[in-house]
Amino acid sequence: MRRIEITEELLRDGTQVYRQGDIVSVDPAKAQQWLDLGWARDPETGETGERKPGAAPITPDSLQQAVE
Amino acid sequence: MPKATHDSVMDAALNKLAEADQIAICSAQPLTYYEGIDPPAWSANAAAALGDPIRPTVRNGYVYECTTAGTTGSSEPAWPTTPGQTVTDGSVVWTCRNNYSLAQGSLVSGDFTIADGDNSGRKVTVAAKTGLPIHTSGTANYVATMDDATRQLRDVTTTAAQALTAGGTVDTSAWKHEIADPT
Repeated sequence: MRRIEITEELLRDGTQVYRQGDIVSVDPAKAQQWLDLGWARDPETGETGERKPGAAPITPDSLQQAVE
Repeated sequence: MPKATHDSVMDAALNKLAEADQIAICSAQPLTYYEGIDPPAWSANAAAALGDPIRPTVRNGYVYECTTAGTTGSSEPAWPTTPGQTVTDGSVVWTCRNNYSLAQGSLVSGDFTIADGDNSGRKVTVAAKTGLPIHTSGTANYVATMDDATRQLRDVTTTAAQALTAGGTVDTSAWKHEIADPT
């Protein structure tokens, strides 16, 4: 687990919600992703990435259902 | 005699899906309207009807369902953050609900097209949307449609995990919901 400080005003991770200033321990891969996205900083080294508002396009999965 | 269902029967179901007027990108699977909706912000001295949803002026990750109708107070209450807890605001009682919305936009009837299914039966295609405002950062995993008038969640589908950063916008591609012929 890696400790990071949330820098987003509000951050959702599944059903969890974090607020700016929260110190959380998450698995290293997720921590690195959040640092790279500029959503968090490493409280010890100050490491953080460039925050870029927006997102790549979303592709919703189509649904197929049967009449039973 | 082969099994069959008239197109009008399947279209009736698809038309219910096409009544949705909101689309939401969510971090977790919404199971209720309140878990998917991004409602208007609280305002002072405003009428609230039973079932109306609202959010704090400073987002806290939760929404609040009006469970006693009335008029809001002159100052914003301290919002509880435990689902099911209530807060009194003027003569209104609000009940805290979970909420997983990251981005939201409107849908209109023209966003839905009902036609023969790709494999069998009938389908409704939800049009691509552009520029949905992202209000909360997080990882999107679900896309939901909702109907404000009935406060119903109408459809939920999955999507590949995608990071959304607040302050920007996101586009969605078209997707389909197909009801197959009976077998």
